[in-house]
Amino acid sequence: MGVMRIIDATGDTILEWAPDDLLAVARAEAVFDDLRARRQLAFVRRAGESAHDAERVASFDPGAEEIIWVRPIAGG
Amino acid sequence: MSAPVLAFELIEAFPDGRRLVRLLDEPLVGRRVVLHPDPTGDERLPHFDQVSLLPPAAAPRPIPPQSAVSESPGQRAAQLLVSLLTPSQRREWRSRGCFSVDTPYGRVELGRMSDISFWPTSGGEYRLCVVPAGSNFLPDADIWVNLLLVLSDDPKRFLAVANWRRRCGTWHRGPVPGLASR
Repeated sequence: MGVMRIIDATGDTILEWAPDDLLAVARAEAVFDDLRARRQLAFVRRAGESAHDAERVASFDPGAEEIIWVRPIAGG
Repeated sequence: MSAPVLAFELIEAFPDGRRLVRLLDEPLVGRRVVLHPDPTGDERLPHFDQVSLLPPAAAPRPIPPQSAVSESPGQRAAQLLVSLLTPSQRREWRSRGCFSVDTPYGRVELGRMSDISFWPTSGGEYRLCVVPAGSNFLPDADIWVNLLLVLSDDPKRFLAVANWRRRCGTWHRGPVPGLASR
């Protein structure tokens, strides 16, 4: 089971998919592509890994355990 | 020879232009397929060469847009943040409300909004201000999730966009001094 966490005002919005559920995978991939188009940043990590081990990715991997979406940064 | 035309009914349209449909013609009646946008712009009917077939068995499993939770946004964000910290960072976060991130350029301490400490490897100390886009609507812990992931991935970029000041100085636009030479 893969999970996408999109940080937002609720803490995060979660989207889950099973790699063998092609409909759920298609939905997750569509969300991924939409967020990428809006210049959000995706990081993949395996269970229990810290941010240090997270990897920034540019394409959707149905086999990913967890994808965390964050926003571009700027000077405050 | 042109590909055979299929009749279908729309189930769901995706933001990228693909559509999930149910086929109405034999021999594939009832099969769910994903239609890809037609590069020729012909939107009337799909052809076999436009579709990728999905298996007929498994019924779609509804995916909630947001998990059912009882925690507050701040609690949810804090849980995600803690899960991203190393054991030593967790100890710092729980005891001081800040945590350190070591980069090739020096140590950055996250946890104080608009007052991020940075100790360059070359010496000295700066205060930084870096924020995620649209961060007004994010719980504080989500801001640290955002900054932690971006800083860990690309510290040079982080320090390039940061507004900075010396401990008792005025604010300047990034990049932080000395970054380009490293």
